[in-house]
This record gives sequence, C-alpha cells and structure tokens, in this order.
Amino acid sequence: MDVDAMLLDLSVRLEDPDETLFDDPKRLEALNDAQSRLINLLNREHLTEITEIALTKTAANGTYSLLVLSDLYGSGGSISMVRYNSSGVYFTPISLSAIKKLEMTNFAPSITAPYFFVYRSKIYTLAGVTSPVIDIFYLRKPTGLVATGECDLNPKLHEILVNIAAGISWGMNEKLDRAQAALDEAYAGIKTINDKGV
Amino acid sequence: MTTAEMLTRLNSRSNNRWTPAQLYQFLNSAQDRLIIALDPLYLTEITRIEGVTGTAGEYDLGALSPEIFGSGNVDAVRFRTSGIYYTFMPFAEIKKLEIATWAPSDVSPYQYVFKNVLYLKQDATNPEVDIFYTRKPLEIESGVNSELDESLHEMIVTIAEGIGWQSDRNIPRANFAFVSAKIIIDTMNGRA
Repeated sequence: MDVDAMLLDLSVRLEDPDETLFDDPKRLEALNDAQSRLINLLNREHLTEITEIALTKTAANGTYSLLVLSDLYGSGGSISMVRYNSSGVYFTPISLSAIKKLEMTNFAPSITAPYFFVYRSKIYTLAGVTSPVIDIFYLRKPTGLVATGECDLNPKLHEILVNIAAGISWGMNEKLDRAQAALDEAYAGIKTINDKGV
Repeated sequence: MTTAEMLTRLNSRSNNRWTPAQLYQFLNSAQDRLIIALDPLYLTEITRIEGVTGTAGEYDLGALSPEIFGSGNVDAVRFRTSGIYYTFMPFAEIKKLEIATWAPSDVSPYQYVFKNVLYLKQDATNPEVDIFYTRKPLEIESGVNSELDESLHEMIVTIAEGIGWQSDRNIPRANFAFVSAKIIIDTMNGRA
C-alpha cells in the first residue's frame, strides 16, 4: 500500500471521506506517529526491510562509536547482532546488569566466545583481542511517510499501521472508545505476529 | 522529530489548547518520565562512564559531572585497577555482607547507594572506580531538540499529551495517552 492509499484508507476509517475533520497533514502526522509506535512494538525479525549491515568496522581498543552510523534508529536497542568479520563468529549480547558473570571462568570472553554490550553511544566488545574488526547488524531510520511516497515496512504491516493511525486520530477527536478499539485491534495483531515468530 | 514538530503534534492532539511555555514544561516532564521508565539500553545517548576515586569507601554522587539523573541511575561500577565489576547490593539486603562467605574484598567488591552516596565495599580504602550512569538530559526548548533517540520522540509527545490532559483534569484523555505510552515502554523493556 503506498502512502496515498493509506491516507485514503484512513479517511474512510475515520468516517471522514471529504477530509474535513482530518486533512492530509494531520493524517500524515498520525501515520508517521503510528510507524514509530509499530517499529518500537514489533520484534526485529519483522522489520527486515529497515535492517542494515555495516561491514568491516574496526572496534579500536574494543569500542565502536554508534555516532558513525548516522542512519541508526532505536538507540542501543537497534543493534541486533555483532559478528567477527574474519571468522564469522557472532558476539553474544550481554546487558550491563549481567556483565559480572563474565568474570567467571566458564563465561570468560575469548575470540571464539566473544560478547558485546552497548553503552554511552558505543559498542563495547569483549573478545579477547584489542581491536576486533566487526560487522554490525542494526535497524536504520525508516523513511518518513509523505503523500505520493512509499512505506518502507513490509506490506503485511500496513493494515496495522493504518489502524494505529486511526486510533491516534480518534484520540485527537476525543472519541476515546473508538480510539481504544482501533488500538486494541492493532496491538492484538502485533502480539499475534510477535508470538508466531518469523 | 524536532522540537517544533513536537509542538505541532501536541497542538494537533489538543486543538491548540496549551501555551508554548506549557508545552515545553509538558515535554520536559515527559522526557524525564520516559528516562525513568526505560531500560538504559535505549538511553545510550545520555549514559556516561566517569572515572572517580572513592574516599574511605564512599563517593558523593552529587559530585559527578555531568550531573547524574537521580542516584538510582547508577548502572554499574567497575574497579579500575582490575576491571572487576562491583556486585550491586540492595540496601535492604546489606546485612548479608556480614556473613563470612559474602565478605567484600577487592576480587569480590560490592556497591550500594544510600542518601545519594555510592558506598564501595572492598579491601581498598580509596578505590579508583568507573561509574556507569545515566546523566541528566538537556532540557527541550526552542531550537534545542531532545537528545534521546528519534525512535523515542513520539513517546515523549504522547506522555506530554497525557501530562497536559492531567493538568486540565481530563483524566480519560490523560489515561488514554499514558496507557498508549506504557504499552510501548513495557514491550521495549521486555525485549532489552
């Protein structure tokens, strides 16, 4: 569904085919807000259209600045995986709250069992080498939705996106029961997609 | 989303109900609430690692620069000499450290926070440590965008809308906004 079709669909759902209550700018706002919510709610495997790989990046002294990835979307949460470029071995993500367990011999980081965490806008590698060359798998910024444009996300998500936009729009119009109904339906759809995996 | 775009969103959602000064107040309160609620994984833009020296096993968190965003936002502490991380001990469980097998040492250090002071329990009296923490964000104002990642901006707007409706005693609309944001925060934290 292109963005024009989404705009039209949204007008119909809002019972505003003449677009008097919700003009194009308002509906585009709602669609873009809906896209942001949808990306935050969905598991990463359903967002493959906006994933990227940054290849052969050197983590100097074990760190790599995320500021270099100018199209990164989602802060540290968007780094889905890190891989040794040379061996193809994947790094295990570890949270700061769990990092102490790496001091145990069984979990000691090495070139064959490397770990990474994200903090202070950097990837920290724990890999048994000083400056590993890595590949970074991450989520990029989606293209903003504009009239006559296209949506980056998978077409199977467009229906849910329009439903969230309808919920946001009904909320603006103080029709909270209708807003809640639209959002409940959208979130139920997202839960089904997340639960079933790929 | 720029600050101007955030204001436009809030004006759309409220039919231009609030003044710009109110909108900035709502946005900053919303940003603070979001930081408190979200896992640090999503706040990497405002996390810091600062090297400091404890004195007699204590460090006043008020001395951190840039300023920490609430003393509860110490994410980790590392003994710089060895690279060993301190185990966080909730204050309510501090008595455990009196048991011989839990006794703090330089290879098994503990930390806790009380009255905005970081307590460092180990052999060394004046340990050099790295404190991982979330700093206070810059205030959102005209020409100054939120420092948080763009993916969080819609949530800031939604929480700000909730705060606005709350101040107007329009509780159904406030709750609708807060619940919308909470669903997303819970999902993201569950994934972290």
